[in-house]
Amino acid sequence: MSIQDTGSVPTVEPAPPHLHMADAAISAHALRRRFKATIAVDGIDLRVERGTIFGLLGPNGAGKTTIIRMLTGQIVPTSGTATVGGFDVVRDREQLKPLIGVVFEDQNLYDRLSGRQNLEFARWLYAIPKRRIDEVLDLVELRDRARDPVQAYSNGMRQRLMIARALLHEPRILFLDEPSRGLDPIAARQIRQTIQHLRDTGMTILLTTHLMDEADHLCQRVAFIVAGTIVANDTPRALKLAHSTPVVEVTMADEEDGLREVTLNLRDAGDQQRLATWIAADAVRSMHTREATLEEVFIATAGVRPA
Amino acid sequence: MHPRMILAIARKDALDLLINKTTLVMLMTPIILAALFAFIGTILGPSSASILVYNPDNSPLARIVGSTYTNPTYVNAPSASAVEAAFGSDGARHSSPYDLGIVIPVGFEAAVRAGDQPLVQVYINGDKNALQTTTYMTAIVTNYARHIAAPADPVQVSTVTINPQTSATPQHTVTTFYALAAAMSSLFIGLTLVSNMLVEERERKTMRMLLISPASYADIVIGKAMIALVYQFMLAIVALAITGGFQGQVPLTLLFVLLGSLFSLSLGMLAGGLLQTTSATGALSGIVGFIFIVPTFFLAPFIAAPNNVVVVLIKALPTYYIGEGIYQALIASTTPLTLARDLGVVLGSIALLVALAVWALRRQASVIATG
Repeated sequence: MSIQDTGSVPTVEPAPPHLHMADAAISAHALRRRFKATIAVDGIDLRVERGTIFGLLGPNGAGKTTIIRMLTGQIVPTSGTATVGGFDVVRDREQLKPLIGVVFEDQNLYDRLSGRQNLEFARWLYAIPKRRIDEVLDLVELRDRARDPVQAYSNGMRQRLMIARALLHEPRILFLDEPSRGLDPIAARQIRQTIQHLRDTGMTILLTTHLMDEADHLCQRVAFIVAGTIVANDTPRALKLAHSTPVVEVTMADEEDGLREVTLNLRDAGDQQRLATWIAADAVRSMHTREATLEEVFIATAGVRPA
Repeated sequence: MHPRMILAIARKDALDLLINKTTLVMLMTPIILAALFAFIGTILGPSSASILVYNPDNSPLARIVGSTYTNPTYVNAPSASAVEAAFGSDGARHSSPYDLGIVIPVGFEAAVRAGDQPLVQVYINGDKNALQTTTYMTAIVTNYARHIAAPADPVQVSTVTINPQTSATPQHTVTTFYALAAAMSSLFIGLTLVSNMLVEERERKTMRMLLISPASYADIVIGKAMIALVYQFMLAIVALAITGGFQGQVPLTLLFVLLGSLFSLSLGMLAGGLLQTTSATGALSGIVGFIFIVPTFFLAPFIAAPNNVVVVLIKALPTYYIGEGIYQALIASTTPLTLARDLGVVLGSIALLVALAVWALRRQASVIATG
């Protein structure tokens, strides 16, 4: 495992699995997964507090989906341990199933069946009351299209239906694997609104994405994963503060061209002096501080672009 | 195993199969084939003969003449002229609904005995009779009259027949063949259905959703096999019903249809465990379909199969014994020996296929679990 020091902001190291296990909704220790010669996940440690949204961010092939598949009991880790909702993901797989909901990376719905029939099937599997179908359809705003075959749905509608299916049995922990992948901006915003709503209900959510803005808006905590290794793990705010340079963007009056924009580094003594001079001369028309984006932090930390 | 999960999966698949137009066409195929067989049987098989009779004294001659047909129906004419009008004059081109007409005069037997040489008129519709019918009819009427005139047979005739036909009528034989063909050709549906359903779940990646649900892999396989068995068995029964297959030893027919369905399903589960795409299962179904249909032709009652290499190879197929079991039951000729042989081969084959399918599906489940 390698957790990069994020600078002056205190880094929260994942707790060893034997500590505070009762408080963690998801906990992984030295979790590793090998596919023949390829190491997809290389001994990660992870801890997701109850009622929070945790983002696993990384480029395609970084190992995000493999982590979700291990944590949801779909595949067995090569080594390491993980608990979800207090249950071991290998040993207690059957007890784990009712606790979790999964929205998969692929839109794995029954296309010939209607949206409602897809949910009916899930209802039969989990033995839950029929009224719950209308509740989740309302939640994802699909009730008016529920009787249409899924093959007539847009990508966004399919994604919402997958969320509805994952929520049908009222899981305590929700795994969302690239929930906005391939969606247009409006559909992606609808999905984010649904996730925000779920966060407000106190559900624990682990989401993977390579969309840094999405993670920044939704997650209380994020981990950057590159080549199967977590390279940073903190709150988005802390990560941005740790990696940002104190920069101000100054718009100032210019004798020749009217207005001129200048970016100044406040740690640089020369820039500090120039700014003081311009303020004294009343040349500054506007001044904004600029925070690093999560994407910039990711690039700085991981050395690669997120997607 | 969880019965609720199995039932849930079976319900979903039952619905999905009916919505899927491709599968629906496939499900209809055995029924269409059976209807086609029944239709061809009606056209090609011997049909009933319609005989117009003027027979005021109810002479037995009318029945004797009619007995030369497979299934005669008699229509009584009010007069001799009505019969003549229905057929027309000798050599005329005239459309008539009747195969044969016969006019037997009043007091025919008495007139024969008195040596009056009464006139019997026989009208033959050339469109519906063989060329030799005129000769047969003349001989039958003359022989009957001679018998009336002199009851003692003037000659004794002894016949010896080698390779005798079965007691079944030609119509019965054709019906048996079509019922057997319809049942056998319906049996590959189970193989196609179950292998497609298993592979499609993996292909569409819905298997992942199922495996994080409370259903186990065994529940999924059993649910699918169950619904495929229901559809398969129902189709075979409908195919048999359409082709008149509920004859002979019906319980044994049903037993072998059920065993054939189980054989087909176990083959389908094996294919579902080994193959990765629905295109592959479709291709396999097409090829394997032949092993169900081909033995039918070697069991056909009107084909004397020679003992050669091809026949030996066909008899090496378990489907031959499914077909033989159905065929023997249809003609009510099952003996303890044939029953034991057919049951032994079929049950043994099913057991072997189930074992192989379990191995393949376990291997598949392990591949899914290990990624």
